[in-house]
Amino acid sequence: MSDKNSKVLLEINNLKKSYGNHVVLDGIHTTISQGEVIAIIGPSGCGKSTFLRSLNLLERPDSGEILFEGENLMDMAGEKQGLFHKKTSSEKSLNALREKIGMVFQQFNLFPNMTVKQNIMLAPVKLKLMDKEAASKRADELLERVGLSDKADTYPNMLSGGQKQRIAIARSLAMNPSVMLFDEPTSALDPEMVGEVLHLMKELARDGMTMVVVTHEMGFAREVANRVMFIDEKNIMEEGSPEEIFSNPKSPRLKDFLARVL
Amino acid sequence: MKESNKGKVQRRMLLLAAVLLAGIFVWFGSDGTAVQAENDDSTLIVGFDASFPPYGYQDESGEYVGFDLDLAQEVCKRNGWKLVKQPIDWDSKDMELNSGSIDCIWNGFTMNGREEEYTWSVPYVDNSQVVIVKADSAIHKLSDMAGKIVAVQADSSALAAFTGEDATDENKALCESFQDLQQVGDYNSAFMNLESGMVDAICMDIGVAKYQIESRGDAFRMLEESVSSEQYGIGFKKGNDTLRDTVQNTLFAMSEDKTFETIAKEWGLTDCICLKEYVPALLVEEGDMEDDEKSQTSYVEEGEEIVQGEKVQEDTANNTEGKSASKSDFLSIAKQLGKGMLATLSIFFFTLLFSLPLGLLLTFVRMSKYKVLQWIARIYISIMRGTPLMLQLLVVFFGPYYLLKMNLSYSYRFYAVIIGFSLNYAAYFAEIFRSGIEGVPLGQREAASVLGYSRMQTFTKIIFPQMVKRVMPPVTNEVITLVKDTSLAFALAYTEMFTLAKQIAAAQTSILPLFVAGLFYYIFNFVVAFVMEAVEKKLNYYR
Ligand SMILES: Nc1ncnc2c1ncn2[C@@H]1O[C@H](COP(=O)(O)OP(=O)(O)OP(=O)(O)O)[C@@H](O)[C@H]1O
Ligand SMILES: [Mg+2]
Repeated sequence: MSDKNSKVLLEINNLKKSYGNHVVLDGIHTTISQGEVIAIIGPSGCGKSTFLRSLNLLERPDSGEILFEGENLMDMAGEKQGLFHKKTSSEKSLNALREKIGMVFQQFNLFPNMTVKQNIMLAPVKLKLMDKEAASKRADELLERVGLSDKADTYPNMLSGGQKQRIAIARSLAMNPSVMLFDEPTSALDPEMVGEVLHLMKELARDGMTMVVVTHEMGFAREVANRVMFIDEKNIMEEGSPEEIFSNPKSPRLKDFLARVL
Repeated sequence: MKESNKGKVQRRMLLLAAVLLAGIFVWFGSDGTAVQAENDDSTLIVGFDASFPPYGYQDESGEYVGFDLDLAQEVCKRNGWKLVKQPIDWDSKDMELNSGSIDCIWNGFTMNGREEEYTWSVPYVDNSQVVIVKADSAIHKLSDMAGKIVAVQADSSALAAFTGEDATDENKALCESFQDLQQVGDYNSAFMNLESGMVDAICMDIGVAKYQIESRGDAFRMLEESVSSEQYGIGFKKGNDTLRDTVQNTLFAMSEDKTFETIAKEWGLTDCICLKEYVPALLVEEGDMEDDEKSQTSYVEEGEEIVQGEKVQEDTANNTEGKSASKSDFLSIAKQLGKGMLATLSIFFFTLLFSLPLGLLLTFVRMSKYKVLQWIARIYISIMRGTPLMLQLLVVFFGPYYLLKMNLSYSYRFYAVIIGFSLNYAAYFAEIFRSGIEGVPLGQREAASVLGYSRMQTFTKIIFPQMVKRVMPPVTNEVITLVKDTSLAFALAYTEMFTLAKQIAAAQTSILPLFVAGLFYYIFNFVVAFVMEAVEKKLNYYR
């Protein structure tokens, strides 16, 4: 909420999610505006991933609203389904919206059967966002940007973890998303590779990308985020600027948490 | 809107299924029409056990030959028919006959004890059941066989003579005195058993016995006492008197002009034939008058015992003039097996062609979100994996007749083999594919869905290629098993290589053909393993 003038991208109202009897999220309210970089912190198992994955419906919330540019994603989602089944029209438009919400995973999830460049190109071509030529050109630009031009024709298994994550970011960028979700993007990396990925993310933030980042990297949250969300006890317990959260925590739970991680 | 899109994917699935089915039926139908023509009045399909020399067996050039087949050929010639020689599995002869896949059983076919089960021709060969032992055996009389192990062919008249409903009390008692009565699949293995001392004696038809002794040299001898005497006739489907009469009348005519005798002589069976005794008086009057007094004799006369063993044995020496298969060398056996190799290869190829896509389709059904479909696939897979493939083949082949009263066309035999194998292997492939699909990390699907891939795109571009790589080792296993399983086609008497090898082994009284067959399977599998490994290597560009 640093920039009250910019356009609201995501509005989350009364989001609830439980697994069986186990309530994970209980009525979350928040808005995410264009250009914001939000860091989500909190103890393990508090529901950070669940919240992030709800934003693009990888996890289907039990109730509540997720408005993306005014459209409620919840109206579009089909129920959780098996691998082979009918496709609904709402699913189609859900897919269209998902193009706008990029996501980067802790485990990279690159497609091992495709080259690095194919990984980046395939979705824009398949979804007819670009023709092959344009997509190829765009892929080259993105590879350049993440500093891996020389890896275009190698397969993901030949890359280091840091390189894989940079490719995963490039793949996500190829869709020209309005917002990017990161779920602990550096947690699976060897310490010496964390830096290169964080550096790239910083650049994205500087270029104005809207980002929601679940992270354990408090340094990154403090330096790059303009809002920090502390999730605990099934809700956003406290949020504010990095300054407020790290230098002046109010709730005892947050103080506890910071004492443990800092 | 919702519905129409739902429908689209379902329709796509249905289309896929339809195309597959259509493929199967077109392939079927194309020959099916030809079959109709084959199966009409101008064809006589003779069923015989192809390892029963000299009545019906396979010679060095791969031809089915024998006394009975020559007779059948002559009968067909005289009636303007085309003869189809159909080797059958002896155990399924009744199913073959009833389902119409053969017109008659003509193969040294014993009438005694089966009088009511078929519409019979008059007997044309009188045959005794005799006992063969090793030359140096201590067995000289039937009574010496007490406490010994005796071999008979499964479902043979020798077996019936000991244990059948109509077995005489003496024979039953004799059988009781044996240590064991062992059933073997064919005479070749019987002799292997005898030679190796696994059994002490073999009981068999005299014609066969003479042939075997002749081609195996003097390592064996025949007891003078015979176990029983019996007659051979041609068996037709019960009630098919018309065909019986036509064939029989032709035989009578052949007897009259001595063609029958000539053919019998060619095969060294002069001493066994008895057709003459049954040629109706009217015909006999016109021709040969000598046997007149016997012409009225009913061919199933009760208590009639013509002990022919001695007479036949005296003449054994004369039989050398008859045709007999000589032993051939490795190369000529390999050449003979060629046709069977082709059959084996085509079972292999067509089974893969149909079972792989069918397996994938089954995987889709198995992983469908509808519980009902899931269960149907589960039950199907559990049945296909839980019952013997041989039984499934029999069901596919004979099912249409016994369940639906459909008359089977002649070439259905091959289709049944392919259908049976494909249905069975699809079940195994389906489970392999399913585990392959489930083994692809969930993250792959999540990444694809976040990138906006449709389910179809996710499957074809991401899941399927990764699945293929994952399932290569288990699929290779299945494919290698399939190579060896092709020999199960013998259950439907489809003459693939192993059946052929057994037939040749029986005809040549040698086990070399079996080894040649073994070598072929090994080479075949070697090639399969090599190819699969190459494919696997090719897929190794990623991990
Ligand atoms: N598929 C699921 N089924 C049942 N429970 C689940 C499932 N996914 C998550 N949970 C539970 O929901 C709670 C929140 O999980 P979530 O993964 O969102 O936590 P997190 O804050 O991301 O933790 P971490 O920091 O360890 O990643 C946890 O208690 C977890 O055990
Ligand atoms: Mg998490």
